[in-house]
Amino acid sequence: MKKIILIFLIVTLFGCAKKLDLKPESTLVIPTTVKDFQNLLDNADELINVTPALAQLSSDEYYIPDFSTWQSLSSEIQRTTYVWAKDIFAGQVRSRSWLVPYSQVFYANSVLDAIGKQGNELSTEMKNIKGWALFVRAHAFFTLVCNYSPAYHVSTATTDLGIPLKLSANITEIVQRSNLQQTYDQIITDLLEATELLKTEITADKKNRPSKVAAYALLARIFLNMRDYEKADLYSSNALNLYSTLTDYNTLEILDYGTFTKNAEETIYFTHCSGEYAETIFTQGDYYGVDSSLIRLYDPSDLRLPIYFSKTELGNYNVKGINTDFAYPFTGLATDEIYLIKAECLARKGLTSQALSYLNSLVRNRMKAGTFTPISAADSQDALDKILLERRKELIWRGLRWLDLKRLNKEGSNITLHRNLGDQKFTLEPNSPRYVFPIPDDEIGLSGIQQNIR
Amino acid sequence: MNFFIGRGNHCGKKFPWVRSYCRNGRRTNLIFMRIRLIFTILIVSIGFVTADAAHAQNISLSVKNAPLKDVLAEIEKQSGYEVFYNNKHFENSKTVTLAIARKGLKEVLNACFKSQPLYYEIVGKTIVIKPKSASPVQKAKNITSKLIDIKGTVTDESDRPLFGATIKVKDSNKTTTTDNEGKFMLSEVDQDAVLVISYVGYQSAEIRPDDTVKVRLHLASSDLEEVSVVSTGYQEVPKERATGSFTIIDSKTINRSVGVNILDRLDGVTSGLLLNRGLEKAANNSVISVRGRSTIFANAAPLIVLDGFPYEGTIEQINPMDIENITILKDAAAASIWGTRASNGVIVLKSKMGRKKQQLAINLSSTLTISEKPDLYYAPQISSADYIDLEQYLFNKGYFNGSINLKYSAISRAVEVMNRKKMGLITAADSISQINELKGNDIRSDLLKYAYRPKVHQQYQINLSGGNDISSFYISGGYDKNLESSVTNDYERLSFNAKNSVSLIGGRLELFSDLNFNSSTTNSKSNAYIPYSPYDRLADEKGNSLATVNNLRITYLDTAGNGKLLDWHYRPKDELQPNRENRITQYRLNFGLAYKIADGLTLSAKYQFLNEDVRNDRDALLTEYLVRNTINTYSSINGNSITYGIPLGNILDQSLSLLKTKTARFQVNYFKVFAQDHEINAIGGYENTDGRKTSSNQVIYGYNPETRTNGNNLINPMMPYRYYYSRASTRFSTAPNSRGMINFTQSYYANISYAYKGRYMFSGSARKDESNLFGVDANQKGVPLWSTGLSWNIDKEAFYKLEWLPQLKLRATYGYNGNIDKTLSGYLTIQSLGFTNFWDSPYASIVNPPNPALTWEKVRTWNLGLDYAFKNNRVMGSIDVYQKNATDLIGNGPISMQTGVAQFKGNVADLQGKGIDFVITSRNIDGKFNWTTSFLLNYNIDKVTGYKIRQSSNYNIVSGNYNNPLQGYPYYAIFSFPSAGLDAEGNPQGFVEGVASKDYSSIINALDPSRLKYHGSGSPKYFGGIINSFAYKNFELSVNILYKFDYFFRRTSIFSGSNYLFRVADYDNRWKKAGDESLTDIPSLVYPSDTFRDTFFQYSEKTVEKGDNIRLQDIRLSYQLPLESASPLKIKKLGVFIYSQNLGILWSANKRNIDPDYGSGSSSIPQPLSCSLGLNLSF
Repeated sequence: MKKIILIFLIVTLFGCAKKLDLKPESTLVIPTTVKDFQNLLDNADELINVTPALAQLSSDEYYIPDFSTWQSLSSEIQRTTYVWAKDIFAGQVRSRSWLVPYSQVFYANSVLDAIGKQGNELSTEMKNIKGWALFVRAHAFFTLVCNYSPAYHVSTATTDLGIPLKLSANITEIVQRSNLQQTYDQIITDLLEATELLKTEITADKKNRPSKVAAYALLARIFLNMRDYEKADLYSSNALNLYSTLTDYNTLEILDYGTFTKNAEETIYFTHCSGEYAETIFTQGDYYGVDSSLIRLYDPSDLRLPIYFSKTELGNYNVKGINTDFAYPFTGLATDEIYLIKAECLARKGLTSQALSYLNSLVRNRMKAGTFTPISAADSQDALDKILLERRKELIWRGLRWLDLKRLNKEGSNITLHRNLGDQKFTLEPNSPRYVFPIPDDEIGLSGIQQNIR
Repeated sequence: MNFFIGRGNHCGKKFPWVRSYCRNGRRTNLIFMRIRLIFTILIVSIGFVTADAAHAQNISLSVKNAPLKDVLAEIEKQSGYEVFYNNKHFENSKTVTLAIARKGLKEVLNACFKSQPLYYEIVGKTIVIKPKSASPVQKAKNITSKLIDIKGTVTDESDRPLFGATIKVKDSNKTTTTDNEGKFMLSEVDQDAVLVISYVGYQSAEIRPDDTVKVRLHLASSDLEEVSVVSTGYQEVPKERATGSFTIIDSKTINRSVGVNILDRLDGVTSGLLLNRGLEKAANNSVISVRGRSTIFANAAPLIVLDGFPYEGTIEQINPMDIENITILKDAAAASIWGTRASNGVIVLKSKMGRKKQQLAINLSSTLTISEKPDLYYAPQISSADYIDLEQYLFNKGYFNGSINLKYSAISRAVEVMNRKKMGLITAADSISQINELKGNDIRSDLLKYAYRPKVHQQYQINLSGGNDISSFYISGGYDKNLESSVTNDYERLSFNAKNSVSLIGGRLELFSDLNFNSSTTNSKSNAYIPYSPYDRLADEKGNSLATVNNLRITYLDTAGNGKLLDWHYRPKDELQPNRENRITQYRLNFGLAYKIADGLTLSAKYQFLNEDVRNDRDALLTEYLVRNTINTYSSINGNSITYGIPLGNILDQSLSLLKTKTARFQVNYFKVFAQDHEINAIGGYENTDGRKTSSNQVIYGYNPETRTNGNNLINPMMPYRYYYSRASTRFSTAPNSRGMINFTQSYYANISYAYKGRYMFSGSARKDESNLFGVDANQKGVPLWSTGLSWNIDKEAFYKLEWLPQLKLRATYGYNGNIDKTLSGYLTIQSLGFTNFWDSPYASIVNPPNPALTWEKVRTWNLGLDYAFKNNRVMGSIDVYQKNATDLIGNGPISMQTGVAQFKGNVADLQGKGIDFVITSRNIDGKFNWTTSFLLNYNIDKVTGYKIRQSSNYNIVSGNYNNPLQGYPYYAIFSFPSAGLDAEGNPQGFVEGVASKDYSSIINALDPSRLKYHGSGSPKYFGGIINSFAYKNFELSVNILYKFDYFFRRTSIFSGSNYLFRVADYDNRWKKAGDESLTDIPSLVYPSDTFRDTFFQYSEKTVEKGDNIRLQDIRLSYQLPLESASPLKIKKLGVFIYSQNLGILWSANKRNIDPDYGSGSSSIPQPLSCSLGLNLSF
């Protein structure tokens, strides 16, 4: 009897030791495989492929008709960013405009740290994942630097403040702000490494994932933003060499609610603007609309007019989904932007006809069949002006205008923005420190990093 | 106990002096064993019927020259009486020859003892045999100072053995205690000595000893049945031998109140236990707490143990009528046997069981409770007229422009009228009359008329119990039915219980089984109606239901779709039917065996299987707004044809969760008394629990309940379905999703206690728990926890002479309990919930950043206790003083957002709790009229003694202190922004650097907690209850008064200037004109909304109130019908009672008519007054 009990006990105890290794919850995983990392980076909808809304809220692509409508806006930040207030957060904490890009960095760093532990021999798939994570980190840093740092200028870059460069997933490590040069260097280093690792082709049905094309395209956007037109030219060429498809808008069906899907043909890499501040970002109804002077820039036979916009009963224009079938505006990389970068760089080099050929390749696809007349220019400056005008029309509501305003004012374009709310008038001077958003107070309070002077 | 050691002779261990079969040798023994076995099987299979027959007093005997003791054994068997004698008395007994058929017991006994040198006495249910010649008195005369050995038993009034009763030889040091069968032995006692037999809660008895003694002790007070044995779930310990701190609740106290949930019945009657219903609902908050707070983010609820096993099921599934008693394990020595689950205290429930040699008892009980309709007027609300004025003000300012701008967006009826007037669609006169009509409505009257009813709760229970020599059983069935106050909600519970225990092999093997089945069904309405405005109406004067505003504008719905869509209006009165059914089916099987290997050494094994199946189905009918709205929203109309995105039919949302828990335990029990003075009681064991829970959920669209077909495959889960009225779109997932959880723990435990001369007790326990914690190294998966304790029965000391205080005991304990937050991991963990992103790829989220230092929470507790009883137990009670130091508590705090996470959880906090539990019971008047008072006083404070993470803004501290504890303050600390009152324009003012200020955002976002005002804890420092019981003849009246002192709560839902809601208080008291600032604290109405101004005021010191209150919890009046013992229906007891609960607050520190237990939230409604009528019947 006792022996039986003893044997029984031993067997039970032995069997139970293994049970201590059972997962307490079936959905939890310690990430180690390509699939696990891919799942993390595919957390697209609310995290990885989201960009902050501040730049869109503060730029000059829309207007609010009157004071009482402005006053009735539900969130304080919609009001303060509209008038470029000194303190835009007005006490709001946990700003997603700061947290979301850093969460992207955290995800990317988590993947990079875990891959780092797996040794140097990586499979092709794992290399692609590593490139993806580097791309995500660079993209997030770039989003941050555009919002929270002044426009790049080579002579002040080492003294201007960049952003904290978190390069590990260790959450106990707090990093102070780097200088602007260091920030851009890090972004470029990451992206160049990503070009070596990412697979070349765009996945046609999963445009939330980056490719070598996307890395080149982002490099082109970044160098343009740094006003390094030489390199912007190079990387726009590299991108277009791999993927240069443009969609003839005549082939698209014009629908009430928008024409595109999230895998639009021209899209290289999909991101969308954060869904907060819906009233202004989504431009619904009669009160909030696209700036009418902007609408007037389009030729009546321009297909972008019916494809991009819908007209309300009161006659103002709302934005429909551009390169997306969602209400969140598309802010990703697409071939049209790369054509425009290429054209601008060529124009700035004085290569007028080459520049115009890129511009016309694009515009040809936007005009109603039979109405297109190629754009010509008197000289390279005229070409540049036309390219920049086309840039406003083509890249509308994609979160890029704010970057262009910062950059072009550094180039000396001297663009002053105005807002009128009843009797109150607001202006944003060129190169104003108000072009740099303040860092949220709770970040300053907890990490002690340096605040922007606005 | 070892006083019947017979060398190498194992039989008859249980009643050695009763049974003498051993003399006949082993063979008889074996045969007897077989007979017993067969008998047992018979008993088990025919159950209580046999038991009943065996106890009838009709005895038939036919014997020829039979030894007297065999005849007595037969009588014992037939009568159910126990025969009590000493073997040596039979030396001269004569054989018996008799033939008696169906005669009474006395008659039979008289016949047997006719010519014996012995005589008998019937004491209760015992037949005591004594020699005729030498009565103790005579002996004493003959032989002076003869020393004798005394054996005996001590039982309660119903012959249940009392474990741990003290037997003291008067005027000597000699004492002993009874074992778990109530037996004791004293050797070499002066025959003339007097034995004093005492037991906590019982009147002590003094007897002159014979060599066999049988003592029956009577309860000290009929009002207070003191349970004398504490159960830790692993073992039962006599209270007198315990070192730890326990609270025991007996079945009478459990059944004083009538709640469905057993834990609710502990309110106000349990020392050291607090029910704080006013706390914020949070995963880490528990309404019920034992001795305050021991954790921050881990589970804060005490462990519930039912019949020795942790209970993982739904607490409402336990029928309180089946519970015999409840033991609360409060300190380390009591609870640490439960290791890592013990840090919040342990509540041990013991269910009822039949007893051996007990006649069949049948108990019936029935209770009917009726409660008032809920007081809808308790929750604050702006009057319809005032609210329409507010809407008019906002309308003029353009507040509604955004909603009006979107043609479909909902606006209230009044705003609709205002807008129509503005657009020139109606005249000013029309608008005034329409507005005036709305001003006359009050939705609450319609709700009370149509949506609520008095709550009716019916409870029925029947139980049968009994037993014979070797087995006992308990069978019960219960049925509860609630018609809840909301007309759509009801509840039903069915429970069934069958327990059986059998002893075999002469009592060496005990088998036990318990089968429990219960099922409950809760019907309710999901998406219950929430008024859009205070002037909504459910029906017109004739009772016809009316459409009310929901998420879309009524005027839009009037014409949307030109009649091609489904009716799109929402008429709440047409939808007062339940659409959600929550069904819990549970069965629980317990098996156990205990085998006595050698004297004092028992091996036991227990196994429990629990299966709980929870189905939660919401079947929303096509006719319901929920479904019509969903279908319409995703429909599109092209010319004359309509396309449904969501197929026509019901929408069925099914979720299912299945819990299976298996627990197995092997335990060695050792109990031995050495040389009379040394008593050792030890257990050691191993157990493991394997709990698995799977849950799944699926939504079924286009469901046809008749054909059970659905339209799910008509839905493309990848397609964003566009709204009928806007650019928004939604994807519909039709796939089921499921997840599983595994909770495996294994534990090694031991508990040893040693008592010397019944005076000094030492206890020690140790336990190691290992669990399948995720991503933690093996050596961190387990944690050893231990405790130790000492107690001293001062009253048993020879020097102790205080006659007025016959019972005095000191206790001291120290030890560790633990706790764990299983959601955390030491490694980076990600979670993939099976959803796909917009590109149809599955995705994962990071749930836990790596934290290699993660470890278990530990709570170090010491406890000092004193138990006392005055002479005749006129006054008795206990005092316990304790301190708990919790370390390595999981805490979280904001960390810099650049890390990518806004919050971090880790072992960062330390918490200290201190307190006193004081209990006193006094029999104020004892006689024909009885008056007893029980007074419970608890004092508990806690303080966060360490918090390694820096806190963020002051706003986080005032608003969510529970998630952001502050070092040096209690866990439930209530802070506020100091207020400088209103300024001349009605703006609330705070302070910045000591100066009155309206810089709200800098006040709110300041990072300096010293700028906040600290009020106190949200948990009462002093709390308890006073129960006064009065008894006269067969009437008994008891009144329970609860009190809570020294705590605070925050009023919520107050008008704060720009929270333009109608369910707020004090709108009318707002600042309206200059000078009001000296009359009121409520800010002026402002536009546009200023959330910081609102936030500042809502968390300013003006909204904090003292919670102190005294409430009349309940009154119970019962009457026991005087019944003749030989009543024709064999009714033994018939009792009726009236019980009334929630009688109201007697005194409250806040004079705003706010019940601090329920707060002042927009939907808070206190439990209404209820009245119950009950009947108890026993056969």
